[in-house]
Amino acid sequence: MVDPTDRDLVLRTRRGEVEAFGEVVARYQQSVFNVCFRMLGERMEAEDLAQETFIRAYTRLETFDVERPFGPWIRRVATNVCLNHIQMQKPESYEFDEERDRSPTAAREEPEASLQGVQATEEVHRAIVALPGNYRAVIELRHYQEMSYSEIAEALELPLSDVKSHLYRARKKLAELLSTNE
Amino acid sequence: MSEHPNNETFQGYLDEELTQLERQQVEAHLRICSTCEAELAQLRSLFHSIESIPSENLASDLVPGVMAAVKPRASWLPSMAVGELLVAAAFTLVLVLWLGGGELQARLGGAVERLIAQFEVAAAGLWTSVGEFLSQVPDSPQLDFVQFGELMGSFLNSNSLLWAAGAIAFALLLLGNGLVLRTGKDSNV
Repeated sequence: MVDPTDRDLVLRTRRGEVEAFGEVVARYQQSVFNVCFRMLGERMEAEDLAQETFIRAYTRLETFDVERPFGPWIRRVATNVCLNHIQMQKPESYEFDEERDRSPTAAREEPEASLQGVQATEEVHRAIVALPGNYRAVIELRHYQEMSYSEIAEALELPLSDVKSHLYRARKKLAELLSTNE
Repeated sequence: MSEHPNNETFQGYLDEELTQLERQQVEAHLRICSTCEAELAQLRSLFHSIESIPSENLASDLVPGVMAAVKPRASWLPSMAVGELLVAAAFTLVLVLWLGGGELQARLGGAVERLIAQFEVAAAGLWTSVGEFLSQVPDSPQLDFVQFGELMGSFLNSNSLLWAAGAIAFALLLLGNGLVLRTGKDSNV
């Protein structure tokens, strides 16, 4: 028996078959969780936000165009849910804090190996999480969801010029943060 | 391009967001400028680093939590079958009118017209009462209620059955088609 398509599941959910939405969650929970984890850097928080993403998606399922793929839509919703969450949190300094952000086994003992292997990717992740929320969102949408500038502008409801400047500043900041930790 | 492109231009280059002309200019410059070539390589390395974060495995299944939080949706839309049924009813009605409209009008038209006549008598009484009441109100506008009532009545008389059936068929078609489209069904399924 052929698995139902995402489109079928969404249409069934819209008609009141809540079980069909469970199948949608099962299909996309891993990728949605990864969006949240990349943006937040905390597993538990990422799981909570991933769950919230699906609940919000359920309430706004009418806005989804069934002729388009579901995956990019739900990941975009996840990005916005995380961005809202970050912006609602108490503002904090996003200066890269070595003491706070380095794990006990961090690359300090092996400076020559920074930006290589697991420790390097952890450092990159910490650097991304140290960015302001709107910078994290553009990095996520551009580098992981492979959106064009205009698609990012639409997803975040920002002018195109803001998308360009956010990306430029986010990458500049990341380069600074990563070079500081080399 | 003789001037060094700035970092923002290089980002646009790697993001494939430059126009073809801008892209050619950057590439022409890169062929003669090792400094910019090194800068671009550094930026490319940063892009690679950003994209190097591996996927994490979800520790727990989110389905039970989500399903507990979402309520079954009230099916606020009539099912697609209803929409399709309405469209079918519209076409059937049009077919019946096309094949036997004259006969129907001959057989039933008289009965319908008698019904309309009774309705008109009742409505005329009410209409006259409203007119008399309004004429007693000081400074009320002087409207010709009798003429207006006759005008409305004339619409109901001529070929009333065919017109009414046609209007119903059209309404059914619009409503049914709308429901089918709204519930996402299309001819590809």
